Amino acid sequence: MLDFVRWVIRRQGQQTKDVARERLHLAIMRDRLDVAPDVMEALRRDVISAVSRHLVVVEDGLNKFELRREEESVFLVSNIRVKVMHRWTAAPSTR
Amino acid sequence: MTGKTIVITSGKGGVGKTTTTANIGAGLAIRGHRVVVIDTDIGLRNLDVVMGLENRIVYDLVDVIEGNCRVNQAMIRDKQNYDLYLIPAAQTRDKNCIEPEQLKALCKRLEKEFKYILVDCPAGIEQGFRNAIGAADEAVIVTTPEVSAIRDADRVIGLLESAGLHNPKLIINRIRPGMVKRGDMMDKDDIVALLSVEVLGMVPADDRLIAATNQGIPVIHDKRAPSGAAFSRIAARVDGEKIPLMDLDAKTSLMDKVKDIMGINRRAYTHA
Repeated sequence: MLDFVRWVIRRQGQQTKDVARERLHLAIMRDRLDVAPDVMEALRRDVISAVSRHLVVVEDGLNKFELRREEESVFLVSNIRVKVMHRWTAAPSTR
Repeated sequence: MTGKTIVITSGKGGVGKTTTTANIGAGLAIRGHRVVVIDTDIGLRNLDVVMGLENRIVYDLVDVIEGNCRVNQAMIRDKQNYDLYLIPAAQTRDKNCIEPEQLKALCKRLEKEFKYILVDCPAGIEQGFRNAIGAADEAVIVTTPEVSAIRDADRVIGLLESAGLHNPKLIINRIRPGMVKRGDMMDKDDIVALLSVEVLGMVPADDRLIAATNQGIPVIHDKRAPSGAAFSRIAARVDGEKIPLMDLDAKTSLMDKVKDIMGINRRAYTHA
């Protein structure tokens, strides 16, 4: 009988498994974002080299490259200082 | 014969890796395959007691790797099934005394003689883990429906991925269907949504498993144990058979159904 009463009460509130799932979702997301510094550096180099094909990149202390968490979403935030454009970037595409 | 090496791992300790290894090993042997299980938890060996072979150990894994004995001298034949062998871990050494390449070379040698080589991985993600996964062609991850075990499983899936072991399969152990029904335990779908891996099987929490382990007999030999039936189906799936996952809360009696409707069912589990 006590079980039945508990069951009725439980029906009203949130089930504990939903709490577990929510907490885990956030914890796992956080863990997955804990990118090792060498991986982050490799990613940074790849991005810089891709940008360099179109713009002249200035590598200095002002550049920023990080993963930023905002509530439910994650952003790759990057400030890359560029000096001048290659001439062909400003020209309209020939294709 | 070209066999296959499968690592059984989890990250978190105490979720049932060793019991799972013993039962899948026994299950594959029952299906008629030659199987060897290797305990790589050097310093904290347990696969031997779980299988009831602790009194038969003469040589161990480190003896084989260091060349103190031949491989077949360290292989202990199982009591119930003569197609199943155990290579026990060393107890007085530590994980750093072997290298991943050495274990891999041993497994490749064993693959010529055995259909399945199961590697029981230690808890953690250090040297012992690296040794165990380095030898494997495939990986099985054991977890329980608890936040700590699932979080660690996610870490381990990432580490396996970066080591080139893709598509690990998941075993969800110690499910309590009554709690799942009440919404107090995450179910298969919740866990799959978090980890996004294929489920190899679900094992219900089972008193009979503890009783079987007390006697050093894998629970798969207990015909009345729900967990044993679950392990039989898992072994069949490992062996390539396509068996659909079963509902854990299949009711047995009318009384169970009545109790269930009233919400007072305490023992609501049978098969996985």
